[in-house]
Amino acid sequence: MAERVSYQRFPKVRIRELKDDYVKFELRETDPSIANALRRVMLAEVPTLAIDLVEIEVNSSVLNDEFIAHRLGLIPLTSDDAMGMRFSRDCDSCDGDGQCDYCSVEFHLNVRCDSDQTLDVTSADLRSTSPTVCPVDVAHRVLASADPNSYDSSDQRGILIVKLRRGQELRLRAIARKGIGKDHAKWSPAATVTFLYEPQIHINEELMETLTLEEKRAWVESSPTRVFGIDPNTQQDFGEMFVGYNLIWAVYGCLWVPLTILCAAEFCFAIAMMLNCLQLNELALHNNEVVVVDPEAYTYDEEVIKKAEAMGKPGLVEIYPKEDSFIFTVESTGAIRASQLVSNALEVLRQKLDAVRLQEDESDFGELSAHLHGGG
Amino acid sequence: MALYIKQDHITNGLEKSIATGNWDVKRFKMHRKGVSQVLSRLSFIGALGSMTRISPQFEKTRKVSGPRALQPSQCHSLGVEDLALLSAEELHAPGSFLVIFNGLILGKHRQPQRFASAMRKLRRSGKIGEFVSIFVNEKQLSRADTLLYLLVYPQRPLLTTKSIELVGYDKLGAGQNATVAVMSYSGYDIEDAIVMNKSSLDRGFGRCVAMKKYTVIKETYTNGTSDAILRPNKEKVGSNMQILDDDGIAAPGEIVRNHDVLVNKFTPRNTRDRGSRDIDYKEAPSKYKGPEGETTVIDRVILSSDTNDKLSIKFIVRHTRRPEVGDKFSSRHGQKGVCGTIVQQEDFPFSERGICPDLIMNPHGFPSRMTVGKMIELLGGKAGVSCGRFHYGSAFGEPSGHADKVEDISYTLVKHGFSYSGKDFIYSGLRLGEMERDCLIAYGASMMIFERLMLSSDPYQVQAFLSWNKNAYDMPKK
Ligand SMILES: [Zn+2]
Repeated sequence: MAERVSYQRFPKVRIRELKDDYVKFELRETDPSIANALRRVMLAEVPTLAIDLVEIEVNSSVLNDEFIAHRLGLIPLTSDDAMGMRFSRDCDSCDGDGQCDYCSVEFHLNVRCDSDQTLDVTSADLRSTSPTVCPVDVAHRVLASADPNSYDSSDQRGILIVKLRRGQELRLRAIARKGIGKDHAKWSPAATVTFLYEPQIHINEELMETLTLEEKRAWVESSPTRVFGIDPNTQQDFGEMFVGYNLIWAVYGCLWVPLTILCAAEFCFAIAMMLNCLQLNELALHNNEVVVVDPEAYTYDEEVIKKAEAMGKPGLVEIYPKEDSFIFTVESTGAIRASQLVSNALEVLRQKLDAVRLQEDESDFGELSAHLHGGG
Repeated sequence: MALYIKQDHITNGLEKSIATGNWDVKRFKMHRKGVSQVLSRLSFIGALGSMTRISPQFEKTRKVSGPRALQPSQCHSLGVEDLALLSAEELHAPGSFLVIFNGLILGKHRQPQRFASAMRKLRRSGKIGEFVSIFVNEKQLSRADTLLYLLVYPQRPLLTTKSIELVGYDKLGAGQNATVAVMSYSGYDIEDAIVMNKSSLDRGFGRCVAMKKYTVIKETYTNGTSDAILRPNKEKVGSNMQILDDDGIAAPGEIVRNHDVLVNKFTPRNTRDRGSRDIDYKEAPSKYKGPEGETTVIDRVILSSDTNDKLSIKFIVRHTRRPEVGDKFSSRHGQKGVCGTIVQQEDFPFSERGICPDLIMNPHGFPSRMTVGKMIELLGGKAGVSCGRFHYGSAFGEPSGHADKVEDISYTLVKHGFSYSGKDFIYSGLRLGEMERDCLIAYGASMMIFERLMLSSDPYQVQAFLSWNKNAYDMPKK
């Protein structure tokens, strides 16, 4: 019991690209289980706000009440406060009727068409009782109009709810509540969360040299995505030029570096790197070496492997996924910023681990670990 | 003469045959059923299909070839139907409206509203019978059908054919374009069952509205008495009268639950003898019967009179349904299957582009059915999505010249970074389904279960004991 061996790993995160609704980052030195847990939590367990209860007063539109209620529910709302809010079912300061600051936000909609032209009822017609919660497209427009440099988005008229013709009217009260994507997809803040195992590609250069330029070209073209290219001049491997490039790794778990500071630094590095690549491409050519242009474009379709076999050159290339490196792509619905989505997911994951810790059932874990170590 | 011959023998016979669809000629021992059928109006295509239905010309009692084999007797009639549809195309030219009288096409008109008001003027001046009703564009929703199904978000198919365009199926869609993964998943997809994505269902995939008609008749009796419909006493506990209006009839837009009262009706205790003026009534409320826990909504209420001049109250009750386990779905190639299970999106497989399917079909449904058209549709639909163009999905090059051959579709796929075969690499978190696990448990393969459930399911060392301080990740060595 005295001697302890540490199995602790320090996963590293490097952010490649960061926009309000999009983030692309690398997660290294960890297991698929962690990558998958992070993906699942982002999709299904990061809380947001969405309309959950609709009281219809007047509806003479062509769509029925349930139809409109369903459409309202799917409108993404700005949910920066959602982490701090209460779930309506756990709230003890109200009876769930909506008049409660801790768990709900009330919306009103009152539209009537009095002209001969069809009237579009959109998310912009929803009146919120909270200053911070509104449909995301409305929030975007407010931001855009405050910033004189942004592009003009006046032609965007919001998310369409229903169209009214002369004499038709829609009047309702809606209550938005906190929820998670597991209960209903309308609460999921993620439009896309996906990761890929970073592919490791080894070209058998000896075998490759036996190919003619035409054959090389045909082989390179057999991949539906542009993974390989023919570099006409330099023998330098693309991988090498990154060796000198000093990467900054964000270390989660022990070092809680504020994410935003990190992003700014990373963004500069990303630009520097891109410039580097461009310069390299401009250098000229005459060796016709097959090089890996973009390993991550590879979709594990095995087309190049099949092509090599068809050409009678099996083993021309070996591709296998790196089991400990993942490249994540996260797109947000706009309910929260993409960076916020990632950090909220880590927070939720930590809360879940805390719940495991509180159970303190040592015997069960002891048994499992004994199994995992071959009954040791 | 009239004394000895029943006057309306032929009329009655025809009426009976048309009403029941049974054609009985006792002298020739002829008993045919289904000579007339009720037109199915579940959907536009359903009604069209019902009208073009044909039945084989020979007795079903005799041994016939398999149910899916072609019958030579049907080929000719099908050809005739095609011709009828083709000539109908001219009638449905844009901007022209058909004038229909008792179901017969009388002609065409360009300005239907003007035509209708002119006809109404004629009716007012007495030149047309006063009971002739005149409508422009009588819609599906203004009818009171016994049962009507509507899809909440109908879509135009990505892959069309010439005949689809002829019947206007691409204008009035009756289906949705789904992202389909053909793979085996979870063990709940055996025997053609499909696995559906819960998030897709949340977002409205497969949602439909079922409208059902309930009729309540205010009965009149032989002694001159009749039912009464009275103002409800809503305060009465347990009366289920919350949805009634003051006139005693349920109001449109109200939410209905099982045992709710639709009409607060009373019947006279004495319906035989003509008694005193004071009629003694007893309660006879008409109640809604439906599954417990399910809520529906009253869409419309129609007050009219039936053929016996009794007041009939028709309720069109609307129920919005989302797909459940056991619901049946079908593609356009007759590849039908029930929904075997509904799985959360995070448990669904996903591609490295982030695409997550709406449903998963088992590949075993393909080889024996040989639905080549479906394979083409899978490819063509994917190509259509990636290039933003509707494709033709027929297996033959069409004379119009814009038919898409499989080679062209594959080329489009490759151009957009997909494999030419339409195959994609997808990541899946699930490795051993619950049913497989059950099999292993039943077999007693304990080490196999342990290996599959513990080691091959993303093994992760949970160092989650001792004191949770800074050394929480450290693990004691035994
Ligand atoms: Zn509350």
